[in-house]
Amino acid sequence: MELLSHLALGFETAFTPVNLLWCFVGVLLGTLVGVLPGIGPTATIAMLLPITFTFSPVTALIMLSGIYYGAQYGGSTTAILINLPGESSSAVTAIDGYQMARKGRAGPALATAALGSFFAGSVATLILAVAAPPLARVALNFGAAEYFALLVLGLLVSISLAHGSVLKALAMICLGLVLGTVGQDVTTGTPRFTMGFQELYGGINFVSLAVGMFGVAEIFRNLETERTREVGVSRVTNLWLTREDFRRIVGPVLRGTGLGSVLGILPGGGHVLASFASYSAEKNLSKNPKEFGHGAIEGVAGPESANNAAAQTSFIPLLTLGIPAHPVMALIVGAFILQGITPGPNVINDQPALFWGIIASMWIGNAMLVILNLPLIGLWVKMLTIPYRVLFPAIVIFASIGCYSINNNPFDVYAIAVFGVLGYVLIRLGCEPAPLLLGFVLGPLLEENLRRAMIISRGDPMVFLTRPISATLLAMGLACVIVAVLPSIRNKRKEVFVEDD
Amino acid sequence: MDGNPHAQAHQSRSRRDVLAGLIFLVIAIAFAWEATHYDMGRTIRMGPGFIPLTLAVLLGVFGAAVAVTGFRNKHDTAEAGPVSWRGIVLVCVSLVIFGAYGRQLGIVPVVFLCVFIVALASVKNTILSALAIAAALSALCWLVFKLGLGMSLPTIGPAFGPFQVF
Repeated sequence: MELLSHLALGFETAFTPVNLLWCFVGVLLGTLVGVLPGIGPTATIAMLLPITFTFSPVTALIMLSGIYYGAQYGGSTTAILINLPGESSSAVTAIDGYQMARKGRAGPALATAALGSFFAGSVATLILAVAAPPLARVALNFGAAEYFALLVLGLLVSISLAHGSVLKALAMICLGLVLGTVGQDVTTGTPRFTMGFQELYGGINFVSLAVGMFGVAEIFRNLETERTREVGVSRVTNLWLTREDFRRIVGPVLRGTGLGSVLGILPGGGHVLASFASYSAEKNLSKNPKEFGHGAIEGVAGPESANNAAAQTSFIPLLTLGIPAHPVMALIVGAFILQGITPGPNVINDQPALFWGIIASMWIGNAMLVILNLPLIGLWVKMLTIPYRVLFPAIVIFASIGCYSINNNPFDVYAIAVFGVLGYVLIRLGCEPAPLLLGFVLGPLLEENLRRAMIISRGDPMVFLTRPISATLLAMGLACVIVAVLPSIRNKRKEVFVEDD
Repeated sequence: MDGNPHAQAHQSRSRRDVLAGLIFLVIAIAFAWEATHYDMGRTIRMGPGFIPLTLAVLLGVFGAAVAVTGFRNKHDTAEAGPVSWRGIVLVCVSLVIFGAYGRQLGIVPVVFLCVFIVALASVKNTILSALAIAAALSALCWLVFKLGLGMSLPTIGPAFGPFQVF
């Protein structure tokens, strides 16, 4: 019954007016950016990080998580109504959801997506609450060597975040790690790579880097080819599901939730993988697979449940080990660090109100999302008519104001431009920015633990191989690289991520 | 960027890899060279230069490997749209203006100016529509950031002399 008292603490924390308000703002913004193609949760969270400085840690994290899972809901709306996935994981929903909309069943499709997402989100949050504490207890026994090995593993699995060349992903990780060493050395105080700029003593601003790489670089990409969006469905009527519909979605929702919960824990776009896996599972299990692709309600229910379950369980590696499984999770690690909390197994014991508050807020947030997405659907349809030419100046200016207000430092704003251009060049050359971001976030922790482990072992690097846990973790990391390099799996990876943004 | 138009089509992918590899290599060399100026320490007590140098060398190795695969792999072609020079220049100019003059101008004028500049990056915006977007966003930013979140930038900065508003 320990769980119940923990959850009670969580709900107590989450139900304060301030937290409820910002949870609402988070899911609202999440839905908004999920609906709008061309701006995703990663860029949004990066932009809003500075604003959350003034909040208490729990409020900040409740809001930022809300943006993430809110975007999963919003993405499905765009996918169903205009056949354009607002978020990468909704790509599958577009297949059958859009066909349903074309047949005048947009209402039931949206309702299925929202209800399936709500069910899956709630169940996966429960799984998170049950699974996280034991995992964190195991991780608590970790010393510096184990922690170092864990970080290396986290970085190597991030290769699976990138679609494309493994070598480039490795290079991007190293580039991120190198950029992470800029600034004063923690142990000796020596300024490194500061080129005489006082502003660089504290290191490169994380928010500038994230906003530049994910927000501004994306704008440069979108400006290459400006296309007009067309809103095909402008009115949604009749959101009710028939008894027949209900009967048909129960199975897919349950299976999708199960698949999503398991795959979400895997690092590297688990939620995208989950929705694809669920779709193919439903197609194979269906009595009339021919209907898939022509508006099968199962093809909406399964993948939508799967991606929402995965969005929830991808918090497990983050909250228990401090390892981000997704670029958004890397930003949330950044949020933890900026709030002065090292994410990892200690959070659950040192900050129980924070940990359980975030989990409880996920239930509340999911409930809010159903209300936001069903009765207010007309509002989101209106949002789709905002043209990109209005959106991107807003993104740039919010990013500038956000970065500037962290330290009132003009340098941070210039840094956005530098990383925007660098990110754009690298993305054009086929390098994914996600591993770089992970490397940058985890770099300082990696260095600290490596140095500490070496001091403890009296300079013997074999310590990483003789301690069983660290050796196992490193072996797993190596396995990840080998698996990523194997050609057959590489082709599959391309297939899976072909719709990723 | 050699001037051989016949080779261009089927070399685009390989050139992408070579270029990416070279960028990594250049960054790696710059960091490694600078890192050698710092104390290396020994394995038991690593100095500030040890890890940066190691990482820079790793980056260089991966960068070189990426470039080599680019030289060897010439069949693949990849399409990419034209570079959005106008967007890049205008966005960067706007960011620099915001950083350099934000405090003097104050939030309303600087947002107006920067949004106007950025909006022109889209070929679909006319001067008039850019002005309209700029006006709308200035009002929105003032409401959200100044009124709502109480940020430290003045509403209208000291550059406007007697018209300054905090």
